[in-house]
Amino acid sequence: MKDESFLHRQVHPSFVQGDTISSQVFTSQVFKPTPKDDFQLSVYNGELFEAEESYDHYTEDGKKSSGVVAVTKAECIINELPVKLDNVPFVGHCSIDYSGLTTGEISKKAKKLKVLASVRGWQFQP
Amino acid sequence: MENNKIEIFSPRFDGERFREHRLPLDLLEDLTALQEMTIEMAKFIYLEQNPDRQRVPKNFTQGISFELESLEPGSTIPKIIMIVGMIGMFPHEKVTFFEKAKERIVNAVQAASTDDDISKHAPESVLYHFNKFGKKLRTDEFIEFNPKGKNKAKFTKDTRRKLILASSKSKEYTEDIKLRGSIFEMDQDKNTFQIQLVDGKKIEAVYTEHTEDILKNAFLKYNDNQRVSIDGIGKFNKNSKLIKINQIDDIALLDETDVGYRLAEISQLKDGWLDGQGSSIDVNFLNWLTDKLESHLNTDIIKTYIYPTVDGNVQIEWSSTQYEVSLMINSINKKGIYQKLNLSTDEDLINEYDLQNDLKWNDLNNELEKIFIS
Repeated sequence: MKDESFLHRQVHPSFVQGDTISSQVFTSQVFKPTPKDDFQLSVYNGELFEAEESYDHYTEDGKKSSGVVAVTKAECIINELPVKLDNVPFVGHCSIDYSGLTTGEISKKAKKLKVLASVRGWQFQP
Repeated sequence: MENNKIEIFSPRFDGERFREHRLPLDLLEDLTALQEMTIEMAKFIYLEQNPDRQRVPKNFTQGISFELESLEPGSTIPKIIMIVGMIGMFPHEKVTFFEKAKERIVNAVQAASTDDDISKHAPESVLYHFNKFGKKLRTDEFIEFNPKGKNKAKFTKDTRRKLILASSKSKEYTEDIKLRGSIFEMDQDKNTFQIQLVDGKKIEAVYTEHTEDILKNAFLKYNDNQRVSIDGIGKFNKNSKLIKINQIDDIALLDETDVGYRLAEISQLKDGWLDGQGSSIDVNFLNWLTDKLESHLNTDIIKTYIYPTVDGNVQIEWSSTQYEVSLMINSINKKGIYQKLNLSTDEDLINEYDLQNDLKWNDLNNELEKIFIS
């Protein structure tokens, strides 16, 4: 996977306040691993999924997304967050690895990724 | 002319607004309502004791007036006296009816506060007057009608509802409301509009000339998620469901980061809101947080974004080009974990705030003003 490739992340509606890019509303929680992620943040490999395709794939079984934001693999590496191309549970699935970090460190890194994604803007909104 | 002065009511008002021993002008109407209620009760007692009479004597209330003599501390105790002119017929006898009236009203409030039978103390015609009394009382406020007695006769919003609904004439009651929502319909012919609340409920109201411009503005921007706040008086049915807006005292357009609206949205989340995970968030905590944010933080200027967390807490975030700041507030112990990240230097600072202490809210506001205003 190239360093500049996008990692697409779905944004749950509860983590958006305001519904347009111009409102500049993104949350740290978008990137904060939830218990279900086991400190692995699920993202889509941008080399295999366009942002819209990732949205369609994510929501096809009823999960909610307000849209798609993205960071690059390089941005994760700079922030000392390994990216795993695990292809589990589907081909094109990647994980940003937050394991081994304290709560404060996770929060700090999540803030930095949020800023990068916010600057880039929505990659797709339904 | 000789007058008699009798202390008739000295109810004790308690709550944040009464800490300085003052009485908000909003509540002056209550004192008038108390007077009307007492007169109605005195008339009822007269007829009760004189079953042969069809009505009270014409001069029954002649020479009687209720006056606010002073505001005593403790928190706020309006001392209401009854002045009885010593003219006309049987002034002393008349006073007795009013003193008994006071006793019966206090007993009715006490019965409501302890879930006893209200109707044995006061008739429907008297209970109906509670519609005009206590409308502006807030959730965290109460009035003790008998503060020096063993039974305090505690009057709250809940007691008020019971008193009004104990009157069969009142299948509905009115109460102070503060609503937030979107204006999705206006009828200029009927001068009515419909507001959709955060929970999706739609309520109709009549508007007047002085609110028309703001309502039109909100209506035209409905698709841009323009929201409004409305303060006023609402009509509720016996199940405490708001059915109508009776009176609008204030209406304002809301910013998209209005904390009250946002927290009301978050209060709608049910367990499993995050694709099967995510706990709902305690509504009492959210009400508390709304009050604290509105009264302690300069959220009009510092854009404040609020999000639920998966474990049933709330995270607040503030951003600028140089700083990313978050405050995760635990809904149970109300402690906040504050993190300030300087994006230029990559330095972060973590603090804990005990947000049950109002002084800590002030510290937080000072900190945020330093970062985002100065």
